[in-house]
Amino acid sequence: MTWSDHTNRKWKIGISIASLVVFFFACFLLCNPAYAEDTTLYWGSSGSKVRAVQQKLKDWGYYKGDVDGYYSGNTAAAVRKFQARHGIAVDGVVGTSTRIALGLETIPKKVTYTTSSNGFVSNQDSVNLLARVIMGEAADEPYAGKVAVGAVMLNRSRNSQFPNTLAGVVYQPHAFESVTNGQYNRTLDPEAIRAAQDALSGYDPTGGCLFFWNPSKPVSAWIWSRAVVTQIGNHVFAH
Amino acid sequence: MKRWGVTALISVLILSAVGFWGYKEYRDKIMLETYVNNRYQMSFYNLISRVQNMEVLLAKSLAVAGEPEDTMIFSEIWLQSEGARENLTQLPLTSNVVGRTAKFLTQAGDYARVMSRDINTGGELSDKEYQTLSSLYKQAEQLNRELHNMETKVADGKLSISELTQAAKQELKKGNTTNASADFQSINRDMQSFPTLIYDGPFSDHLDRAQPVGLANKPTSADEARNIMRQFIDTEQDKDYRVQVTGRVREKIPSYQIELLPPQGTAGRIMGNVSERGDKVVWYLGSRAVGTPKITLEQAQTKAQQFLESRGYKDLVAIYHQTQNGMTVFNFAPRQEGVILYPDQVKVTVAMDNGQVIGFDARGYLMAHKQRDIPNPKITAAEARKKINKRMEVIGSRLAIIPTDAGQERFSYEITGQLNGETYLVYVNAVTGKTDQVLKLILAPNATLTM
Repeated sequence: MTWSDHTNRKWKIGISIASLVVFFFACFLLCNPAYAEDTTLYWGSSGSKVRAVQQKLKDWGYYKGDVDGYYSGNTAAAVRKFQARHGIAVDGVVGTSTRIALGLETIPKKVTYTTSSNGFVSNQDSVNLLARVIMGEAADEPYAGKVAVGAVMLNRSRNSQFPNTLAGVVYQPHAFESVTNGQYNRTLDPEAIRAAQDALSGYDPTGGCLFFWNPSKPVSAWIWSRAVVTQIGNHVFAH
Repeated sequence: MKRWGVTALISVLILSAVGFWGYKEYRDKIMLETYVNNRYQMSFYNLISRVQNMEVLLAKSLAVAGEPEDTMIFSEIWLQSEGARENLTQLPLTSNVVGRTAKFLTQAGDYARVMSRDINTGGELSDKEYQTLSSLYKQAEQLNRELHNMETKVADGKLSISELTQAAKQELKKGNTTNASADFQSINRDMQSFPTLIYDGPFSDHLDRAQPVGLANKPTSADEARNIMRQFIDTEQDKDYRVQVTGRVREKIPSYQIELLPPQGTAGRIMGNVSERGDKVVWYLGSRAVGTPKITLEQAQTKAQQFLESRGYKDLVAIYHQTQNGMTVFNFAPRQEGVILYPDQVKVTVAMDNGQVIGFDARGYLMAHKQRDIPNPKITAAEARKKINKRMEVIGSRLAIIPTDAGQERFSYEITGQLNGETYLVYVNAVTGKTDQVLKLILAPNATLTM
């Protein structure tokens, strides 16, 4: 018991000495204004701060040399390039603004703002229109096949040979059989809506196709002259 | 006798009732048919007058010097040709009969739009541009003449637009062209001889030839492709998927089509493509039902970011997102030297019930991503800010490479600003100082989108 008390005391003394040293060292750092403010780096500077700057610049591809902690001409050139890119005065010297831009110092508290929007913008109309044709043309196809049918319609609206709006594409005479015979007016299932949304967010399993057809059904011979890209489920997709 | 009389009377009554009903139906049918045909006639006649306007305007465009005040003529050509395309594609003709003609109308309008933009910024018409305008003019003149010939036949009763409806039906069945659409077909054939048009616009022919630049040359075997997809997907509770190559995809990024089937009795087939060279997953989409949302948007974004990082897509910035149906689609773009590369986008869909990544699409990234030679900006951020509306409160600015609709790239300052409570992104060219693009930020409760 006694020896453990003894060691405890020894520990306590050690810790207090150590904290005193740290305290004095901190005082020295803080009370020495020359040292504290000397954070501007320029040609000729060296040390860990230069190394940090070099590492950042190297990570982002501005600096090609070694991370050696010496602020050489190469480092200055990289800093200048970085400053030019970030709209900071191009002087080749790492000051406060450059350090902030480098992410080595936190940005002083900025005024917060709230983003808002008053307008009414919605893609609900496109989702409904697409989902209906997907329902009419590909109700029994795998999910990717449904997205693909939606993508074909969107590809058409961006192609010079077709109408330039989604409604124009959907209602182009003789373009889609389910629209011609009214079958596309069925109740939508959730998967058709999801496929329409995925197609609108940019998923395109066909890689830009403009036509699709079911090869087991009679189709115009002309359609087979198109370059077939892939088959998904029962549909062949082509440019 | 009496019985006979009654029966006869009832029969006559029934017959006349049926006859009357039939006549009414017939009359209704004729009325509807007339109505539909009138719509087609209107499209046909509008098409003629718009193509005629195009011819005249293109002729005028050859006579002007290409001063900024001439932009009106070019804008007018664009307007007329877009109208003509709409009228043409509303006629009851199949796309193989009108496709090439529609393409001519689109390109003529698009070319005029690009010209109007160029001369407005002070460019003069070059000899090459003048030649292109002349050939567009000649083509429009020919198209106008042929349409007027057709109109003569229609007026003489030798050709009926309503016939086209019947004709197209037969054509679909038998595959041979009937008389009525033959005229349109021959116009379409004449259009084939029109040369390919390469210019700085979205319908330029060079865009069809774009090749992926973000892929290594190493060929990928079908077996490798299967494993690549199996390792890549974010599997749900380590399901034992059966992975099979179901075909080839001959698109711009030639790929293997791969299907992942979950163990029997469970739903959620996954489908996707792996490139035939360079070992890359191009896209994949899962189809399992997504339950009620349990995770927050921040958690979903962290998940998406981790998913991308673990699969080699490092240092990407989230640029916009949209939540629909319990799924959030995040769009990410990489950075080079602190500059955001908008053309090289990657898309990730996160299911908000358990955070699984159920969709991924790197087509943009694989098509466009390369080490870019980014110049130093010629103007400073402060100078760029001066280019935007003084009423706008600037929130921030950063450098970005943005894609143009003609498949090129511009080096711009992206300046975020607020005006009348709306948020805008204004892109000021970092080299020329001109405004490249203006986007409006749409902040719905479930999304930030740029339009």
